[in-house]
Amino acid sequence: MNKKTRLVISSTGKSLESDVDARFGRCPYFIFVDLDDKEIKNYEIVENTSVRQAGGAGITASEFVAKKGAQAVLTRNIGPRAFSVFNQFKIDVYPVRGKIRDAIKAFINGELKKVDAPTGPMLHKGRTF
Amino acid sequence: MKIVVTGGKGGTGKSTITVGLAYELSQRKKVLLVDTDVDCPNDHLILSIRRKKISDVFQFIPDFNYDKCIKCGKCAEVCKQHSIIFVKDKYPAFIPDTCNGCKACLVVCPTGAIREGKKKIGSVYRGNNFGIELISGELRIGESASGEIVSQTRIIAEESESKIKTDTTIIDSAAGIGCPVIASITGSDYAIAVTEPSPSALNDLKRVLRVLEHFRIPYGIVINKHDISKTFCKKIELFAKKNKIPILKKIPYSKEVIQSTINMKPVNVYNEEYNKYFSDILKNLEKQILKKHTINIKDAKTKKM
Repeated sequence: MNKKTRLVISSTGKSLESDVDARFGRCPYFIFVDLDDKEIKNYEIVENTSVRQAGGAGITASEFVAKKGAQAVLTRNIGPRAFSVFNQFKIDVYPVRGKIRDAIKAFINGELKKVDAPTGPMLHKGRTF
Repeated sequence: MKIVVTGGKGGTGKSTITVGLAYELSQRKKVLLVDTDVDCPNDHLILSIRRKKISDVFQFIPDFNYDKCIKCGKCAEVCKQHSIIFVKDKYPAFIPDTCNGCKACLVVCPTGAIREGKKKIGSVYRGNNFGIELISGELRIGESASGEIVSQTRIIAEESESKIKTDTTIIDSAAGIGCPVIASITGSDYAIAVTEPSPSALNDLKRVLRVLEHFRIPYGIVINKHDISKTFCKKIELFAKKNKIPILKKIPYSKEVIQSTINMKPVNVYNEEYNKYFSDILKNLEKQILKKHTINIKDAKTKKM
């Protein structure tokens, strides 16, 4: 049975050799990966425009990736607001660290555990609007 | 009679003077003290009061009934706070923290799928000590609707006024000139602007006086810590003279004032010698109010400060 899944990964750089970024809302890039069963069919590297916001980056970033059809999120940390959006949209979040290629492999092999709560507070203590 | 103590600049001594005045006046009248510095209320500390909560303050947030939701996304479209997130074919997600209760989502929803929900944004407390009744408002940390908390605090204070048959209400406002300060000022009979001899204090004083002018509330100045700068104190006195603003009193700087707040007592309880400052302020205040100081509308518009 072929299982098609679209992943999104917070990335420090523009390639699969980059590291998983520690932050979800303010990572410089998102990498969208289309999996067909256990194979990487396709991937797309997109700049994260939420980085420039004074506040609410978690909300706009989660909206952006949800709109692009992400079904699972791989990142190191996820704050309360982004987590809440994904939770309400039933998009699972998997904390993972290291190289992106390795993270994808780990996901495919079922080694990652999804979280049911934010991993921490907002990393950016900016003003709310 | 409602007196508001304000001043613009923080740290000039509003709370210290408000509490001192309340104590002095409570010797002969029934006084209600209302602490509307809801971001950081202090009056209960100066009065050694362990406050009791009497009310929570709530604000509208949408309560989604997904059975009626047709996933049109209009609610997210109209939400200026970005509190509602809509993605095609999914029910909208809602983040309560940033919601400011405007109800645009409830109005725009074509199927009535949004009902009135609420979130707590603050609380109102009461207490009493030294013969003073205190009503104190407090904003919930992380919320931004300080002005709304001040309004609710004042509504509850009004109810208390009739219940305890208050003669005089004294309102301690926050620093600044924004929404929470405006909500503290409105409806007052007189405003005491507390300032100190420094350029920032004078600048901020002028800004708050313009707000008082707008609301046509008569006012007078108290120069606190007047002896920290003789020259600048003269500048303030000159400014007051030029603009015909009464100076209700000049109070000298003293470490005793700090000591009194650390000991959690009004300064005139900590040291009886301070009574004379507050009785003088009240005397001058009564004189001003009797004068029925009215502001000529034309003067208010052309008054340059």
